[in-house]
Amino acid sequence: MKKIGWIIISLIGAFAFALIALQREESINAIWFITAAICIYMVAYRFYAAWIATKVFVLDEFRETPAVRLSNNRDFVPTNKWVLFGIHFAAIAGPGPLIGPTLAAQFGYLPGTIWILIGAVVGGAVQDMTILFFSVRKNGKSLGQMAKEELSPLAGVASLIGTFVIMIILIAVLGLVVVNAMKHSPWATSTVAATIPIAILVGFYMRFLRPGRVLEASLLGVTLLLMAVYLGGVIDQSETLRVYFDHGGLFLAWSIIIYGFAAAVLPIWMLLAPRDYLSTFVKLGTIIFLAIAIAILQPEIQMPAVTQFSDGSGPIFGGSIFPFVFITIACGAISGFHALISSGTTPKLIDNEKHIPMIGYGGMLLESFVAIMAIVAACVLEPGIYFAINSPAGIVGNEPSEVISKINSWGFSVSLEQMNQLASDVGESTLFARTGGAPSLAVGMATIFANAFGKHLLAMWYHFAIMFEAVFILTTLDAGTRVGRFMLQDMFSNIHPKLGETSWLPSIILSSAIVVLCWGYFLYIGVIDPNGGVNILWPLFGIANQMLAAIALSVGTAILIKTGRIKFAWITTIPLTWLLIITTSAAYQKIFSDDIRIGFLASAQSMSNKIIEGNLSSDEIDILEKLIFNLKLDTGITIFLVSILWIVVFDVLRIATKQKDYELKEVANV
Amino acid sequence: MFNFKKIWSAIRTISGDDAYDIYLKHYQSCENHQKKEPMTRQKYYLKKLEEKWSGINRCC
Repeated sequence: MKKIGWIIISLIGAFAFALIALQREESINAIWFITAAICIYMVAYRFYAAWIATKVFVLDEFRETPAVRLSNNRDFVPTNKWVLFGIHFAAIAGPGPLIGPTLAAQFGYLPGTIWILIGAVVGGAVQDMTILFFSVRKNGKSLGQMAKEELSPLAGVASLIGTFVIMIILIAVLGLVVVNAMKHSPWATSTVAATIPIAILVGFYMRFLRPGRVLEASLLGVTLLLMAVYLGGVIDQSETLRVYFDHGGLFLAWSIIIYGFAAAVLPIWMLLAPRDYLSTFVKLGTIIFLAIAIAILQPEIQMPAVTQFSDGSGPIFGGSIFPFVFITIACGAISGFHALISSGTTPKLIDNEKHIPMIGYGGMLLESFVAIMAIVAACVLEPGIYFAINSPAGIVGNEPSEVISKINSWGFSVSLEQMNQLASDVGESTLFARTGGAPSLAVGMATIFANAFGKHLLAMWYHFAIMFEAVFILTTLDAGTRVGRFMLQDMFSNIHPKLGETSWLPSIILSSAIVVLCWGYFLYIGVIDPNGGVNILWPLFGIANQMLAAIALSVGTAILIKTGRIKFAWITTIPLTWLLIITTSAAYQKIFSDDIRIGFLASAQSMSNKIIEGNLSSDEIDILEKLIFNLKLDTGITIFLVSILWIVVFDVLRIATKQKDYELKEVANV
Repeated sequence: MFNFKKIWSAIRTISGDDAYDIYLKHYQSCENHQKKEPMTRQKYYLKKLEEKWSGINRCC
């Protein structure tokens, strides 16, 4: 009976997937994406994850986990599996799976969808589960420690530096996304600004009034957030008030930089913790809501399966479908960052080894599902509108009529009236060149919500979606700055022990300032870049994140070999090989491509030529010089990341070819 | 049909709302003999926050 059920689920999944992959003539319904995803996840979880758990890892439910053995009520705490699933998922799922798929939709719905589904099932979820398993067997060691011990000291350092670089670029690009969503939008800016005092209020409530009452405090906070969305609309209507919140990109970028510093220095209970609770609740609610809305409304996908931009000429970011779809969608398919969570906090909380598939593999599947919904939300928009929102001014021009004719020339119909109508419907002055993915995701979500739950409220839904993304992103920005700070303090402790004290104020201020300056620089460059900055920063983030994933898979492979599981090493080497191919070729293209929209060096060269040609004001030359410096810096970072990657891979090859009996370094079963 | 009490208690546990109650119960069952007062609600909350945010616990 059970077997028949699984056969039916497999057949439905295969049918839905085939429909998505092969449908060309008519448009396809979004419900098939959800169906295909759920069926594929279920089958993969039931068969592949279970097979890995029993045959490769040989999970032992009677073996004591570190949480049980070393239980200390502090970091080692045996935790209920559902609670831990919540903690783990909240930690791995950030704004990445929302932004990447939205940007990658420029290739059409098909490439992104296939990669999200297959990448997660074969790559990302396997990585998360493998690292989680090995970390559990090694008393909760971190990825860096495992890389150091199992590969080489150099690999350990490489993973540390790689993590820091990713953190910096991730925060910068997220900051840029928020800036682009708030640019000259009093409604969005005032709502996002209001989330700060609301979070502080909730923080005081949970600290002094009713300590630790998470649910009631969150309810209070979410109510206030909804009111802030409404009041933002009132401010937008008022001629006197709206000027206070109507700002350009640079002002907003500086505000975020200052805010980021303040947030990282303030005590956790005041801002970070309450906002994290709010963001978790809003995130959960929105994702569930979106799934329900798609199920009710069953919108048709408007985007073609594959667009002409698969050749690399896409307006949102330059680069052809291979390898850039795999770089653009990192989170949601495979994300190296998850290996840090799977090897740091989570393994110290696992109560029983048999929970590993659900938390490691299952957590990633849920994140992948979020990515599928993001790509659906982008693809239910009319392609013309999608491109009008997401194309930077540097590509399509500043004049609305110019933008419209450019997009029409690509074969996507959209009219000026349509865009103006849409902008006024969502309560914005314009939707042109709102790059970064957040506004188009918000328009997509708002359209779905408005059609399912009430058409008159489009503006409310839109700004709710913007607020949702911003709260989410600001939490990551704050938490990320702190993580960077801890890493720096750890490094500084080698210089002077006092600097390593995480609670010593001068050290906090110094290290926070350095981290904020690092990402603030990239954010600033992203804002002054006429091509929108996302074109450079997002691929760089993707390469860095996939490089970390490759390191994690290398560590996994090395341990599989060393623990006598070499015949199963393909579970990690298949995704590892694929990541090597895509990161190396993407890095090569980003550095050496002749296309100025792809190659850093070609772009820098063309800018120098412009300066030599003259006819530029001193301001323009100033900006160009900054951009040229940044392009060279990005080249350096990319070369650095790829070199690290290959060093680690050679370490794995060395281990694989060395014929010797490795001693089992797992902690013995007691 | 639905056991609302059970669902509510699951929501409280997953969100961390009843973490202090669980701590107290745990304290009474095993730490009583240590002759140490249990932490107050506020102290426990701050301690947990400190632990939660002192490592890498957020990513993309």
